[in-house]
Amino acid sequence: MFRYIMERLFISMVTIFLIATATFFLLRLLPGNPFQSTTVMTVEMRDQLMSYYGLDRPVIEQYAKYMTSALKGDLGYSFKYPGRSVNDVIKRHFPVSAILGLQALAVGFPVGLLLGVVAARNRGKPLDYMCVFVSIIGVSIPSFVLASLLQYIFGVKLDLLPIAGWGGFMSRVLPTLAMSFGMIAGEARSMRASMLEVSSEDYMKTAKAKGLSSWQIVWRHQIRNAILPLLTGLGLRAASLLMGSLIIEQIFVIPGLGLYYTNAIQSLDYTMVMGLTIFYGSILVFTNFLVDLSYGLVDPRIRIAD
Amino acid sequence: MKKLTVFTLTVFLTLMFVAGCISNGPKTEVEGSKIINWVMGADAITLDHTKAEDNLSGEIIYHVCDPLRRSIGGIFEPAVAKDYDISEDGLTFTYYLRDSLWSDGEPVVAQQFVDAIIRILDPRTATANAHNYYPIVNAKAYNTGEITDASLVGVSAPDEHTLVVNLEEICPPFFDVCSSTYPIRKDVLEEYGESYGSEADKFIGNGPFKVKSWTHDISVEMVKNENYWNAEAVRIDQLNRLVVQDGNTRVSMYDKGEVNFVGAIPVVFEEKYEKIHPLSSGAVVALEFNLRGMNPETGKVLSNVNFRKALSYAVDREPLAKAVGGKAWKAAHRVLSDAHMGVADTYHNEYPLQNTLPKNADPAKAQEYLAQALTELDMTIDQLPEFTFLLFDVESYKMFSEAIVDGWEKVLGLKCFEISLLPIPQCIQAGYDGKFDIYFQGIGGNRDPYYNLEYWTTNGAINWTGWSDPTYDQMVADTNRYIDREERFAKIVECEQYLFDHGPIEPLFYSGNCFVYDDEVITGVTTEAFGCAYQFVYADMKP
Repeated sequence: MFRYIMERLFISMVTIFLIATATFFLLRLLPGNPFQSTTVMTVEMRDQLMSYYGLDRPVIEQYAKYMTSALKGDLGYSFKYPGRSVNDVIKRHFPVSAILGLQALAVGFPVGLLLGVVAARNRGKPLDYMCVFVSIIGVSIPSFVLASLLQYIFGVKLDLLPIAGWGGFMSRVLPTLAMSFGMIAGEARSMRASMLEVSSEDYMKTAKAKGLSSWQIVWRHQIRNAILPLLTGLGLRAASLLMGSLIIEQIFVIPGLGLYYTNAIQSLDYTMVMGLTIFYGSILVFTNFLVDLSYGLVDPRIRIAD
Repeated sequence: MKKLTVFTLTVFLTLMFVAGCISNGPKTEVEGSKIINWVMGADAITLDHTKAEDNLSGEIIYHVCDPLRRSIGGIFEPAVAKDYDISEDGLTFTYYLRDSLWSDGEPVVAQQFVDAIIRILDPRTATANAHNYYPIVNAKAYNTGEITDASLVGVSAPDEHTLVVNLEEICPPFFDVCSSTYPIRKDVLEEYGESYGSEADKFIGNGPFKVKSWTHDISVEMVKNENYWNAEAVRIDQLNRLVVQDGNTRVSMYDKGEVNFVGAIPVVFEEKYEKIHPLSSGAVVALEFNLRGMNPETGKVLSNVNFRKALSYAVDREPLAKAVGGKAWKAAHRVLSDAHMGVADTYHNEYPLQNTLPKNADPAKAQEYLAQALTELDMTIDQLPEFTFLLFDVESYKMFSEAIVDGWEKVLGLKCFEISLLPIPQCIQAGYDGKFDIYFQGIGGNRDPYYNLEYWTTNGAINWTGWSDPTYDQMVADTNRYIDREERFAKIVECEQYLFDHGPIEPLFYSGNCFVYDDEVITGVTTEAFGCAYQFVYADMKP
């Protein structure tokens, strides 16, 4: 187990290094530079800024410099926001995105699974159609429509919850719902399909033949086997939820990382894009790592031998 | 199985715990206090006024810092400087400072203005604002690193209450720029270094309000500064600027009474409100033609002034402005914005042009110009090359471009335009590189029209068109020889006429946006196209 973890850790580091390198060079390939905002600027002024930030040096030199400081954990200062370091931005805004993402995950994943299980158990019956209907709606309604709708109904019409903002528990209900809805729909569909797929497996027949109650069959055998493919996707989903959603953050005015990421890319804020990409990459790699380990918990067959 | 349950439960409980711990808590409000909750679509970038280049930062800085002279609705009033002198040769500005304090009680002294100007010019500050101060003696040399001794720059403080600025050559429009300078505190600056102005507690001001808190991309809370020299005149207790990117949310918050002042109303909601106020942005949206062209063929055609006029007269300005831009947009009939001030009245009223552009498309005239252009070029319509019409990949720009190209096809029968939408930085790069035939963009306004005319001189900051006319360059430079505003503006309008007749741009719209608030409850709000858009310094609220 220890060796396996070390191996995976090493591979993870290499992956993050490659992500950073690729992003660095791809960014420089994009036409334009961070100082081309709508501010009117003379060519000399722009050249002066470029040389101040070292952007007039050869790309390889910039790369070496950036990677050296990144290795030390210093992701540099933003080009767009004077005086804000990328580390600070992450420290300040990531927790917000992460909490929202985890809340959405905590609601979305179990509810999605539940709907999937209910639908599969009642295949062809009204309950199944209802679940399928809900999930189709969930997949096809874009999150900005759903978010605005939730705002209008619960915020403006019923006046039950705040429209926007990031304060106490109440202000988080709507964004969490808006964010988890897509996940509920997706998970429900996958879980239903997966449940149906395993239902004809030999072990299911064996379980039935053993005389287990249908509750035991579903709980011990069907769900446990059906959930495996969903766990694989969970790492990716969790990582993307953690990094925040531009649309949800924008509509509900949440100070998360999603907004920063999108703005940084649009304004070619090199250090910000690099820093956030490395950070996002690390989270992705890390959650996938956790998912791999969690397989063992669910399925003893793939428990890693020492 | 048990393990899985325990694992899930643990994760779930931890989550709930963490979620419960982190909370900003609701804002507490003292009853009876006058609070303006003002909501905008984007946040300030920095409070460091030496580095701030954007309007949104400028709006906060305007309320928390005090300049030498303050523009209230476009008219300059004494601020830290109670009086000033301009020498007869126009080369020396002397400001006489009043006794005033920073928000922490320290005195404001002339040297702090010197420090601010030197900081702006210091190449290590790396700000585009430096360019604005180039008229000062040795400013450019210091900024470009030619000289490193800051004491050679023509700005000095003979005593605590006197600031003297010496110019390299006479430049009347620089007076307002110079008067808008804010002081800076070296001790605070040195304490926070690179991060000065990035947080509420890493900043100090001397303005009517002081920053109480700044949660990036969420809100800036400003409270009345009791140490402000004119604090008696400030009636508002607290000014909160909230940032809500989504237009729907902004409007819903106003409807629900969570905010009482909304800026940048989305066009679709403009009809909904009676108390809607249009505000000019001072920018002119124009077509810019690349006289060199993407290739020699397009360059040759676009160099023909009649061809450019034909395209210009085929645009249905007013209907398009209202339909896409909204209530605050207007058809442009001349090169300089209608928001500029002249001597006593608006510049447009005092200085009319001999000929102006029509509000609606003028097919007859457009076709006439086209026919003339084709004769001069010795071409037929079918021989015209394909033109690249470049613009920012922004929703409203997309609509404008489609309507304009459609108009060219309907009025002139031309089908040779290809719309190219690029993200903003890439689009600007393409502009610099001359990779366009026609460029559609909003040209930001400056308080003094001189700067907008200067854009189109040979080395003008945004002149990517390849238009270079020594006569025009000379005319623009000459306007600065007149210290008297009336005489100077008589020359300015001559330049505008010349640019209108021969220049590489065709103005389309004067842009703006609408804002909503109840002017019976909140009074005394001033607005301005150039500088701080919404000004609450002397605002008041009915209980």
